[in-house]
Amino acid sequence: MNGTTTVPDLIEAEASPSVEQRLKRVPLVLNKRNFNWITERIAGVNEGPAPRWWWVSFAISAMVAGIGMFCLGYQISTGVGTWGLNHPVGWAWDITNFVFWIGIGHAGTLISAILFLLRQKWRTSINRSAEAMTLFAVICAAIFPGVHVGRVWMAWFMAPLPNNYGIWPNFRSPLLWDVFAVSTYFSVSVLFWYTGLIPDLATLRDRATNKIKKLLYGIFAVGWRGSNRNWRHYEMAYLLLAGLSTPLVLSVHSVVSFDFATSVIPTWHTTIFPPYFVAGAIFGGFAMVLTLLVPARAIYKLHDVITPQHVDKMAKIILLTGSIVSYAYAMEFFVAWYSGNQYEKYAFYNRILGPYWWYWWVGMLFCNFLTPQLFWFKRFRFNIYVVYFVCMCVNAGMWFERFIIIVGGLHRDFLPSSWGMFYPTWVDIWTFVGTFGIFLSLFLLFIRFLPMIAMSEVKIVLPEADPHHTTPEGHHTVQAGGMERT
Amino acid sequence: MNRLYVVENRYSLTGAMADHRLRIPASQIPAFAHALAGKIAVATQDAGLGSVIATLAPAAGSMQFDDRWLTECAADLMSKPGASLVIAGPMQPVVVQLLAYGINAALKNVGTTLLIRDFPRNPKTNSLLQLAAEINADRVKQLFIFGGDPVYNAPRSLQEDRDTRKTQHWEDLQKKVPQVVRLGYFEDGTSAASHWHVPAAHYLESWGDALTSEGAYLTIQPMILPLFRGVSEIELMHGLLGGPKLEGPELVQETFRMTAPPGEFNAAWSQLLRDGFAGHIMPADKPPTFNGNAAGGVAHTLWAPAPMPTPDSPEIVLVRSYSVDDGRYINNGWLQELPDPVTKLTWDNAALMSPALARHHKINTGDLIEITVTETTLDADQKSVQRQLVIPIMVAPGHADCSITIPLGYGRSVAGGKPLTYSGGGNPADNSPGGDTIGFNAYLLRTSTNPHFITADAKTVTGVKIAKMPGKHLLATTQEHWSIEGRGLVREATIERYREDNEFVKKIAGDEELPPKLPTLYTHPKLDAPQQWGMAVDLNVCTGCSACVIACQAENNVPIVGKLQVSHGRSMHWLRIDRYFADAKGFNQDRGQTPDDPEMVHEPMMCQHCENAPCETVCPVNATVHSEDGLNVMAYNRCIGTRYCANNCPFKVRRFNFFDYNQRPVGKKKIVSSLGVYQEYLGPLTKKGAPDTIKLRNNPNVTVRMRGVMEKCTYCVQRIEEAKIAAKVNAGPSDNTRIPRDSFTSACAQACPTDAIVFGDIADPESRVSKMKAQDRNYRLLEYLNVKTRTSYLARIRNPNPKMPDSHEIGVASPATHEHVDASEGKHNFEEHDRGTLDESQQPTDEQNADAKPVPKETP
Repeated sequence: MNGTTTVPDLIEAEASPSVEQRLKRVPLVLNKRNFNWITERIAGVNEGPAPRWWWVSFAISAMVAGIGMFCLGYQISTGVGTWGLNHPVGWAWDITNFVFWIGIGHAGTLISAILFLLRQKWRTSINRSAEAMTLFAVICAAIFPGVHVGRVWMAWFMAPLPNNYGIWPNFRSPLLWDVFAVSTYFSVSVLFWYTGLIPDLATLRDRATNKIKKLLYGIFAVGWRGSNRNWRHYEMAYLLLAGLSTPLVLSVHSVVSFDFATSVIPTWHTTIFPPYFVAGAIFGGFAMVLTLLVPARAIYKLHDVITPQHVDKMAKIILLTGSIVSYAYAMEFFVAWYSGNQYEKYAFYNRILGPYWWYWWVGMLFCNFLTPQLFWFKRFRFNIYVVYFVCMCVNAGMWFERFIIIVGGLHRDFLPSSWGMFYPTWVDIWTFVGTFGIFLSLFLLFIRFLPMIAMSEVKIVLPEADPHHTTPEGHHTVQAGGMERT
Repeated sequence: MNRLYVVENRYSLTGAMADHRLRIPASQIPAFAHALAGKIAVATQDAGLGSVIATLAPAAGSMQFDDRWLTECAADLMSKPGASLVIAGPMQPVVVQLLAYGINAALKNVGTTLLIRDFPRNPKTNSLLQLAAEINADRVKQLFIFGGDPVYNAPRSLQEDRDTRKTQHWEDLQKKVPQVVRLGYFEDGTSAASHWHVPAAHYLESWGDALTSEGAYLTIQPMILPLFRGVSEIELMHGLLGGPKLEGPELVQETFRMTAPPGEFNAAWSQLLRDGFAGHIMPADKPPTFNGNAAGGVAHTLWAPAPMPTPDSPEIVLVRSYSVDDGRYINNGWLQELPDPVTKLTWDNAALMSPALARHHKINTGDLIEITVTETTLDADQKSVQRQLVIPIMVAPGHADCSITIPLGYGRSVAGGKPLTYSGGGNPADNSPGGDTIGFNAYLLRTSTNPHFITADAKTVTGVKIAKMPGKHLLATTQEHWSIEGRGLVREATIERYREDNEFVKKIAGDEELPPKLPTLYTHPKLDAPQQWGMAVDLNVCTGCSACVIACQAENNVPIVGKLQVSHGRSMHWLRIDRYFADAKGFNQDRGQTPDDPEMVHEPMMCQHCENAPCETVCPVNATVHSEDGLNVMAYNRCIGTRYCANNCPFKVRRFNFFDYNQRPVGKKKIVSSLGVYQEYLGPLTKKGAPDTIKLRNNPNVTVRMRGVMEKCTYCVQRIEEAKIAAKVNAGPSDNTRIPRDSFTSACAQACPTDAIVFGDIADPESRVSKMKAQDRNYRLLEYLNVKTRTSYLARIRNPNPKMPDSHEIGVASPATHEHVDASEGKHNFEEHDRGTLDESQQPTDEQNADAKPVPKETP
């Protein structure tokens, strides 16, 4: 709870004149930026003209996204055979990418929901982008289970629609649980993100310089006036949605892990998977948040809002979740050995020494276990280049981890006669690269048109937002909480 | 229990069934036969065999055989006079056949195990060589070629041209004939060199008759009218004789009449059609007349033992392919895609060689080599004739060293290297300019003096050279991993062990540790139909011949996918035959170790119809569910193709339609802006629809599956339903709708020549399958998963001769016993993970083998 001034602190401050030194903490927003600066700086990104780098980046992203879309169309029209899948490897990059993207989303929800409930005020600088990232990642994730099926046009069979044959989906199938889990997750995430946006949308509406902007922001601001009544309802709704999202952070990736855990395949059939997957998702998700925010804050000069201590805290979470994941890796090997089951034992032998050995050594051991160890040192947590390097390693490592679990498990299971290898085709590769295009295009659109930092929430954590706040000069600066009109 | 000794150069299916197998170069078989016959002649004092042996001098430079192997093998043979049999392979020279006959005579087998039948044979038939000489002398004005493809497979260099002294192949000779008429199924190379091509009717389209190898007379009856207005051989012959055009069985009736059928002719004819064979013609056995002295004379003149080949001058053995025979089936997609039962290679042939020979030449599977055979004959320029063939190699465990086996029948083309049109399985012509012929034509090495074996014997061939060529050739195999990794999948034991412990199968793979009934979380559908279907596969009699694979493909409209897709691991066979190599010494395939002389085991693998099926719980749309009679059924219309079921199948028997194999061209290259692209990758840009011949081929009782749908063995559910319907019809008003016991069976079981696959009602204790499953050799795969498979396997029992030097290396495919697995468990480490067979500590130490020391095998 560092960085904020709480009521007991203030009571204590009144009691003792020397408290000022004791409570000296790094503020959440540096350089004593005021409400106006925040609005100008953040809304200014949306209000100013789009910089050249934005157009270049967007053009490239959109082109890559277009190639990805073409690959999807080609795959759907011609057959799943355009990917490198085979017997025995029925899932490879498709489901790897699905788990990879859905995992990334989790950090956003964790930041916006769990950290909100835990009153972690530092979340306010990053929650908006993280939630946007969640939505875009879930969109990218949802592509894969959608198109990886052999007959996409029949995918609606998974919907529990009443029909005169009385045929229902198979409620025992984890794949169906996935459909429910991911669609619920996406809906709640959209609602949560949108609800949080409303006060900021109203700010943009009020500051809009032309009719179209005013109309569009106005529609989405749903008549927000910043009244006490507005705020009361808003905060209750936000709290409820945070409460609703919190179990989803844990449940969605648990359900995704059931795809594997409920099967019989060695290395898949593991009870450790739900916590292991959730930890991995947060691990990978925080890395992706940093991957996006570190350049964004440099470009838009947001160092006062996204401060080194934000990066430090996220690095600590990466270290924690990375340790959980590494523990799970170790546990898998221990259990395989301890089980005495020759299929399990072979599968893990094969993981480290089989044909896909380097995926494990590079992806899981180096990227996911070794590089986050740098974050034990404060020096490295505050070195943005080291942080960025670790985040890129973790991004790659988490993809490799899912690949090893999926393909590594399938390619050599029970009957050696069926063992095979998976080789990606250009369609596999460009579909995956294309989802990065989709993700980045959406993210670029997001930072162009919506405030990438929750202005209203950051203002709430400014010292001036506290009704009991006293400047060293001894007078109040602003009224509590409210939205600023300029 | 019988005991089989096999001496061969390459792993054959017979070799896989052997209790003792000796791998030696094929050119050393005469020397082996001589050595064996010598042992038997000395021991039995047989005059006939003795006089043959006496005329044959042991060859200098031939292979030296393990004396203990020979002695014990001979002793074993002699211990069962009149109940043993020595067979020489059909490719072996006459002298080996004589020796084999002599041995059988000495062992008193003639008349008991060896029956000799007089086979009617037209004495006026001439050899191709004689015909070639006639053509060369310009004495042939008109030539009719019935079937065959001599341009492709006649021996090379038949005649020298009289004027130019240049060597002539059959094609050159055929072109010299003023008029050539060809009757053939396809327009092949021979047709291209002929003046007329007459389309031949298939035997399923025409009337005919034949004699079996046993001498029985039978009819060939047409199933349909000729599809392409073809004529049969006898019809064309009849026409040449001036007869009128016939469309019925008249010609066959005429022949049948000559056999003097008993009773009224029409009744006898009907009887013949119904039975399929003529009961009144009984083949007579010929009394044995082996004259050792006469045979000895013949043998003496023919005796030409070849020197032992060397790694740098190995022998070449040309054999008929298991799937395309001599090339006659090359354009049959089913047979092309049928994995070779031994090598598991599809759509290709390759030069098979032992791991040691490959190491010697520093080559590996897929590398191209150039084989150069230098002959003693001289060409027109007075240089030694050289024959060359570029072919990829394939490392074949169990192959004899210093020997290379090349299956014939591949590389067949029409004139100008254009490949034949492929048919038979959803895979139409690959006849684009960029298309390749399938495989490599080993007939280019074959001459009439060396039709089967080419070895540097100094008489006809001075040297065989191998040179590595740049580049690799893609060989599409259906099974990459041949180590069984110590898993109790194929269970086998020697007969001693089986007699000691007839429950041994239950003690492999930890099965005995399992609780009697494992709890289950799910409510499973009730298996309450009166009849419950199941299958048993007896590994003791399964030879791995793969007839079941084709039967299944034909019955169930299983598409072929072409070489490229096979190489991607997408073959569609519902039933595959797993082939594993096992070796007493243990080997780690992951580290590139290859056993030189392993034993080979086969295991047919198809949907096991688990009662507790892992595939069913994971399908999100309920497309695969269980029926009341115990089938794991697929609803193709409901399947959306998540492939989750296939992933969760422990047996990996589910097959996914990665492309629209039934609707779009597959395995056919199309030139798109100078790039050859296989048409399956062009999807909607290709023409939709299958040719009529392909549609006609399909079984109308079985759905043709579209792309994106999962499929797998159904236990031939259409046959079950057919039988149910028939039972209901027969029942009439009664309620006895039970299908009569063993009244029908699945396609694979029907095709199995050894009855290894038995299908039927497991709820009926008297059915054949129930009796099979009641045997103590019965076991289920992966019992610990609690999947409760309906298909079970019967363990293989080997019968090695305990006195043989290799007896302790036999029957090692499954871990020795469960105790042994436990013993090794403590010291298990990952390095040793697949010393699946016998460790040193697990070697049998009983009295019989106490003195059995491994004797080194003959090495180059």
